[in-house]
Amino acid sequence: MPAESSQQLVQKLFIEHVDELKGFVASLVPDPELVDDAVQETFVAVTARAAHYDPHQSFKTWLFVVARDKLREVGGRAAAEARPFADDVLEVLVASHKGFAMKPDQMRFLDECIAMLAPQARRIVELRYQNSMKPRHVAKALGWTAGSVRVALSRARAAIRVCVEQKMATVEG
Amino acid sequence: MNETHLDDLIDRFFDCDLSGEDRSALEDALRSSPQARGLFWRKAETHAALRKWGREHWGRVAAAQATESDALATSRRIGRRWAAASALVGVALLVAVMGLLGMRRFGTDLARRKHEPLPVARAVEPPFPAVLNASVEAVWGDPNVELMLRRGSLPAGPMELQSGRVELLFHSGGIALIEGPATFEAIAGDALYVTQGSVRCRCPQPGSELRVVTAKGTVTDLGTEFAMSIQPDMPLRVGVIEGRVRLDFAASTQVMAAGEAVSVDGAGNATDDIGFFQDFERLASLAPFDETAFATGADLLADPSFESSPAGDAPGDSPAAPPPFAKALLRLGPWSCSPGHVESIDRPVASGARAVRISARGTPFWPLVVQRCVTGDISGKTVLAAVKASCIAADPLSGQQRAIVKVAFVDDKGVEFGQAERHFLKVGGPSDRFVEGRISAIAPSGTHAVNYTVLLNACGLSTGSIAVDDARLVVVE
Repeated sequence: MPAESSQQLVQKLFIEHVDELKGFVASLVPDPELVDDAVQETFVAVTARAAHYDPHQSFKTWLFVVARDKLREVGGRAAAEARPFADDVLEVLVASHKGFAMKPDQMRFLDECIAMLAPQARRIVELRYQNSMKPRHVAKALGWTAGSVRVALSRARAAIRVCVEQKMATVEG
Repeated sequence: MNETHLDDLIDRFFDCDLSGEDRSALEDALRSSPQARGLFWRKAETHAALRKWGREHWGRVAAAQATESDALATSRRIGRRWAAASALVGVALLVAVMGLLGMRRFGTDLARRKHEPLPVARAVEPPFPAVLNASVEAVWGDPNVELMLRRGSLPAGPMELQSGRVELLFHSGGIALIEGPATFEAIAGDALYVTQGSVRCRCPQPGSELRVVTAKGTVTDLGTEFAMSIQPDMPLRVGVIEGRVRLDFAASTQVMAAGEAVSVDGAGNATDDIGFFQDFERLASLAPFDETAFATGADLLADPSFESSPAGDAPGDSPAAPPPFAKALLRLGPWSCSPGHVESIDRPVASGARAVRISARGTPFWPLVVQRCVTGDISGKTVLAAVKASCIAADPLSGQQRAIVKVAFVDDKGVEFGQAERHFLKVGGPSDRFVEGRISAIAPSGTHAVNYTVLLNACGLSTGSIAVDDARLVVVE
């Protein structure tokens, strides 16, 4: 395959898989900025290695392997608390990953479930995920302790997960 | 380890708050326990979905603002005509009154936009025959059109510009400036179909050509500049500002020279319109860019060549300079930036020792640097804005990004209520060579501050970057 067309193919496939890649990387690197770095560098790496991609093989598998390697590089630049796991833990986690299949109504349900949260919990979720603020910054913004924000965030996420699962079950059942 | 403790450790990992012994404990659990890995991925899915939701929020806000401004513009237009009624009754009653008074179209439109999803415009397949080059106070019939144009694509089918002005750069190199109300469609890389509106066309490059196609005939720019007005039930009017144009109508074909103007009736007959030639010079024109004032005026921006270093990703909390948008939290001296998308670089630079690099990094929306300049009341004054930007040679998508310099007018309550922007950097242009983008606009009544913004337009892709340097904002006194 000519170098140019393999690059075009890989870039096209990358764009198709970028949402899932971001979910995968975000699960293994907690710092949003490092997620962006890892995704960006994965793009650069797959573009550079495009000639090595075999179109008969799963692009996603190949992409995630490249991303895992980039995670290690990018993770080295992170602060201790934002680093990805040790290499052997990454290996077993990646091996056990079954994919995030975002279902058609999932984002709508997520929106609805977040809207149902108590106002303070909703505000914390918004600051954490819309403004990409770490819990200690959320705590500073709200005048709370970091521990209280962590607990509230954890409960909010659990409530959102249950709420979305119930809505999905209603639709599917 | 019990599940509650494991749950807590996983949450703390996702919140960047796990180190030391706790991290080791979680790693041990993940190594040894399939149940722990299963729980990790379940929680990871929620975390990833929330991150996606958080990122998409900014796109939803942009769409909602566009919808809101669209509905507001419609409402204001109605309000001007029916001020007494609209001041006293609510929207529902207003719609009913409109219907009774024969304003059904506006009322239905307003009601539909408030309660029903808007039709989503489709983009044409690339390569696009034309892209957005600039816009001033543009209000679109369909807000999705604005979103598509701003990200570098082109909607399929006719576009309805309700008010304001937009400039399209055609593949042929021709430029069409269109003033609303207008309905038009870029039908080819050198052709614009216009049903209604005022249009000014320029072909700045030798050999470039641009045709304006109307129901009455075609006007072809032969490397020059002309203006025309197309209004329903009115004669079509064409005036040549510079050079020559060719008219092809049902009843005649003729070539016009600079200073000539004609009116064309419904049968395609052209008659001399020279008596009103001054009209054409005013048609569809942007505020002139005052070179002298730009060169000699005071730059209102602090640190215009981005010599500052990042101050971390904490929210800007200086009361003297709050970030203009919640999204712009990273501080870079007096600038606010999209966190994770902007970094200070030392190469390439246009001047000084540093510039900034704006990178898409996985999002096709518009990462930015922004600075708010409090100007006092500058209603009616001309605002000139410019910046230099460059594609970066080391970027694998170099040459596929454009840059946007935007001035947004802010009222005394800190709310943006008008804007003008210039899209620049030619797609496929040279890397590491800086190009200056400029925009000029008249500050609307009530302007007390200006948000000066430079954005990356990644042309709908989620990767790529530009270098930005030498920002300048001048208010002409």
